[in-house]
Amino acid sequence: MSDTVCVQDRLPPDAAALLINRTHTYKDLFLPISPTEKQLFDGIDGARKISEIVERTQSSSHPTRNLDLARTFFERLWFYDEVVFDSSSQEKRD
Amino acid sequence: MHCGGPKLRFTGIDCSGVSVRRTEELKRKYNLTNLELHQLSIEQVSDLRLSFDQIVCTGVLHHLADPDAGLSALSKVLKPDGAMHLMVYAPYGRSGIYMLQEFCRRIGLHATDADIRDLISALGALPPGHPLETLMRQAPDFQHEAALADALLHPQDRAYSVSQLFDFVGKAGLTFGRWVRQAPYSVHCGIIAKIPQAARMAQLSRADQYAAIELFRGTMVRHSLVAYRNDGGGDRQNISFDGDVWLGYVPI
Repeated sequence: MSDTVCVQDRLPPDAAALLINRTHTYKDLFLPISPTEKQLFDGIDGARKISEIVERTQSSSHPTRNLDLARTFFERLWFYDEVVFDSSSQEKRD
Repeated sequence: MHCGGPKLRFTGIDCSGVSVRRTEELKRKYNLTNLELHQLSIEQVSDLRLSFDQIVCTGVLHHLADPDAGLSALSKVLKPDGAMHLMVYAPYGRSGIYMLQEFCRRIGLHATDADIRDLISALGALPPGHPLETLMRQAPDFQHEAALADALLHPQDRAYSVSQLFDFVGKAGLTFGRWVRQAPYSVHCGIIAKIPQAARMAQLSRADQYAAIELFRGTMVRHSLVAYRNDGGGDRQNISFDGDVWLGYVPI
């Protein structure tokens, strides 16, 4: 995520942060994230799997909803070039 | 010291002896013991009798006399499950460059010191709104006179639209994997996701979506992509959010 900047000033309503990839030349490519998504984002340390990040931030009352939210969020992070994924453990499993 | 890690081996090729010698100096300076260098054209890469897990070729193919032959040569030395990172010029964002290249050709300018000096002086007089003027302001490459002169006086330079790029990659026995930076091409990201045609564009094939977005954005100057062999297993490296496989990914 060395190219990703997490902006927390002058945010749109309901956003906890804006994620911007500094290498994008198009100014429309920014990603507003909610407080729950920010918790997931803050769980990224380059070592934890998504499942571990979700577990750390999960509320026990809505586990399925949390999983759906996490899937959508990490997919959006990927589409917006805010993260790359190490999928090597999955390839070994295959 | 090593590039990447001690178990990795790197091979660099360049047709220019000057570039290879310069890189040899850097190799010695940083004690890069796992880097091998060869003065070799891309078309001759199979002479090394090696195959590679990853090939990086950026900013080169569009300057070759026969880019198809160059990419085919690289494709033949890519391992079946390997990946190739390519960068080629894109046409619409570079239209100002191609206009000025044609200007230089028509009046017989060459890459001499005097012609370069006069050309740079003339560029200061470009009228506001000229397609090259915007590019000169925005692109870091063009802040340097030498780079600008190289772009405008390069004798061999072709660009690829998205459609041409997919054909180019396919003819070399490769398949498109993904863009290195994918958001600018995505129907799900930024302003493209908000235009009235977004849903209609999402119905198109991936290649047609990207081609339409390239036309809409209009200012892309290059395409950087990851490609795989179309007879190999490289495309298994694609990231997927289907099933539960994504839960095992480590975000970085």
